[in-house]
Amino acid sequence: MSVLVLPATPHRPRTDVEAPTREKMWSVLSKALAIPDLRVAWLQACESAGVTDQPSLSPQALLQVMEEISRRGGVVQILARSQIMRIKTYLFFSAQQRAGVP
Amino acid sequence: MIPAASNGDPVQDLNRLEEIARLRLLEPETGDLLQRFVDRASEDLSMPTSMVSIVLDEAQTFVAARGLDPVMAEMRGSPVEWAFCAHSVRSGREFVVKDTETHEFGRQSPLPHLTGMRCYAGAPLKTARGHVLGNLCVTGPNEREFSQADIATLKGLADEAVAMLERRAKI
Repeated sequence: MSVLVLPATPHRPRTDVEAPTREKMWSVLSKALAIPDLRVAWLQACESAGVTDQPSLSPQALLQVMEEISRRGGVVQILARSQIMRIKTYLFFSAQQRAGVP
Repeated sequence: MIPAASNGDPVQDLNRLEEIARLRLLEPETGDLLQRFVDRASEDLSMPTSMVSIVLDEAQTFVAARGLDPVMAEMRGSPVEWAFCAHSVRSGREFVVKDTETHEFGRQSPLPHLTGMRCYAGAPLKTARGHVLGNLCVTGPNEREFSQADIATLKGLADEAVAMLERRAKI
């Protein structure tokens, strides 16, 4: 599991932000979808997002795919929205780290 | 009594997540319906920032808010392990932090550093089925001792908000 580490500052504890992966997204969504349904939903979402499915999807591509999946109702929407928030957090801090913000 | 998840953590409880879906809490119009409750919370407790935070399985999301700092205005939520509101999902009770700089969880969470929040009070949004969806909460930039009357006000608004959501779900 890849993790973005934000070192501690005088006012902030060390903070670890988990990098999103395709495996993690599948693991979460499988709580609510059987694997064959998940496979179909995932490929449909990839197609709608204009993304080619592959194991090493970028965080931005994963965000697009999860946004497509979140359009479904029920618990799947809840699980997807939860991961969207985590991916956005990762992207936010990645950008801050690149910009040198402590 | 808080329903337990298979791993014992109410935050992860699929029945609770189904309740969030049943009440359509992530629909865009829900934020508009809940805005008056966060406005009243800020006004009644004289606090600059207020939110309805819905606690999902691995993140919290702010479906209605007032006075958010620029970072949270952009993010509209956080990972669940940073969320003060997740404490109420687990305990079923209000959660109060007088001073984030001296409170154990306040020192662990990155949110005070990111947002400048120094105090927090949240009342659970508890449904008739006993699930806590998240909190109606207020935060501020200075330490504050919240009175019993403050907490009662928040709790009253939280109960009113849930009653409105339950009525909407029956229509």
